[in-house]
Amino acid sequence: MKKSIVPLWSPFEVEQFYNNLADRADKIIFNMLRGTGEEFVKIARKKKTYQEHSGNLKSSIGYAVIKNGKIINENYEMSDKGFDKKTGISEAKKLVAKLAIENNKGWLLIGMAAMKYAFIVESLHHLDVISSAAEQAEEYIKITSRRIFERIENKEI
Amino acid sequence: MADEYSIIDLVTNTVESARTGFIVYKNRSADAEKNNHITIRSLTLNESDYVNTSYINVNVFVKNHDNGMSNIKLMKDIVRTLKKALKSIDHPLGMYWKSRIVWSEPVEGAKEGFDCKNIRLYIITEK
Repeated sequence: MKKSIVPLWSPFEVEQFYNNLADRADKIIFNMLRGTGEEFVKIARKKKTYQEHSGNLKSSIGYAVIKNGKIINENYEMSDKGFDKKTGISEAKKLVAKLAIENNKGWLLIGMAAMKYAFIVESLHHLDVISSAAEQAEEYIKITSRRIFERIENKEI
Repeated sequence: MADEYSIIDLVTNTVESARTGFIVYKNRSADAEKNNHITIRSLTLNESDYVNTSYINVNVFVKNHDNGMSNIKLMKDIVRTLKKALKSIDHPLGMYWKSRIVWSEPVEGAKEGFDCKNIRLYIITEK
């Protein structure tokens, strides 16, 4: 009697296998982006280059991790100085919501100082608000992603 | 060695060699400057083990017409000339130097009677 080829896995099991891999990849990407965002806000919030009057500029510093237009993680913090501060946070949230709608495919990390005058402070008053934080966050993500690829090559993950 | 001062010097030399006809100032313009001018100033200098990285602001101030309208054509010509020059900043032979234009963006309400455009440079060079 001739034997037919019997599949080792059912279509459901194959699908589950690929879903598991995708979940693991998602987790790695998310951790990398969240770590980069944390690095960004840590550096940017420490800056004492500009004076805080309303507290809105510092309060508008934050980050958000977005996947397919959905906010997965976000970090805002009210400044401890200034007479307002709330506007800064609400501007940051507004900006994230807008960018999430506009960029609704794949992963996105937003690091920001959402008050519009942040650009004026940097370009006309030459005071660093987020530029060096962004630069160091970029460096962080380069190093982290390189390490991740090395670990994948070494089959550690 | 390239610290913030020598970086500014090199960028200024490049801007001056572009022959825009504008007055070029390091850091800030003279008080009550009435003519078209360019200011060049460092925003940050980050020092790591082997390299320095820096963001530089090149601000272009173009006088409005007498009727208050923007002189768009002059701004366009000057910014194009500057961007072309800033794409290849002249630096001493053998010096490690990498630079790029991050953006060129209008700055609203920068100075009364002027339009302003900010050209942001990012520079990596040796310590």
